[in-house]
Amino acid sequence: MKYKITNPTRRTYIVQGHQLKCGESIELDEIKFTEPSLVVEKIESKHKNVETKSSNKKSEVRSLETNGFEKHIGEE
Amino acid sequence: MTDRTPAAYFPEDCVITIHRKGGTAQTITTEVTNFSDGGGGKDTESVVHFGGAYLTVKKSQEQFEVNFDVDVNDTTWSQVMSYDVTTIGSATMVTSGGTQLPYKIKLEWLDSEYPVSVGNLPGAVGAGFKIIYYNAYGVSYEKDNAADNYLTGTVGFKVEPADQNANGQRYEIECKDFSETSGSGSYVGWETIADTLFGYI
Repeated sequence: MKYKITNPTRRTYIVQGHQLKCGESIELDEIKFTEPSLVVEKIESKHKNVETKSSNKKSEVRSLETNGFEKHIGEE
Repeated sequence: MTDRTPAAYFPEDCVITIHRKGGTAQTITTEVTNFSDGGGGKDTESVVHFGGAYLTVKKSQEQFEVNFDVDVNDTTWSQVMSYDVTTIGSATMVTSGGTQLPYKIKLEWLDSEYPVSVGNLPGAVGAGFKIIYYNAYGVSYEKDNAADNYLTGTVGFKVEPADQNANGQRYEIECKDFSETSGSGSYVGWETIADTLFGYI
């Protein structure tokens, strides 16, 4: 499973050692963080709705077909 | 090895990042107007004895206090005080009453006379100095907006000198010459080791 992380904010994030400036995206095999400001998209699930396993009470999963992206939010 | 340490480090040399444990590091450099580091005092007490003798009693070290004056244009600093955060699309809500989560705070000054890129220091030319706080907790956040000024805030963190296993939580690391690879490698590596130790990956 690959993940595409996009930084929609004005800040620069350092995502698992990679610098992610405003508007930039990066692909990772594994995600080791939870960051509400970053948009996370599962790359291999582009042709169907996906459900994301999460113990997070405040997570949100959106349909890839209807929204074009999927987002995980919330906190550990 | 050549000592390339500059005569002074200036604000334009500095990069400031904060990293919530479990989150990612984010640069806040251009939103900060002032930084101060205080506390951490190590007091001693003098106990006088008969015969003109004095015994010095070393007191425990005080907490470090880190303060930033910042521009306020989002909920980032409220999240420091209460990580009860809900995000839907482009909207984020922070509710008071949430827990304070630990942060890594890093300020790094890289000699602008010999510019180098962060993360690629070994072999580069220049010098650097960084202060890193692990497990800093937000303890105060005050906002201010005068009629003739913009919205600003003052954020305060406190850091214990060491964690529950006596691992020191405040690091100061310098490298006088990045082109000397054993030194520059340690400059980078010591932080990596500490990141692993404290769980900031």
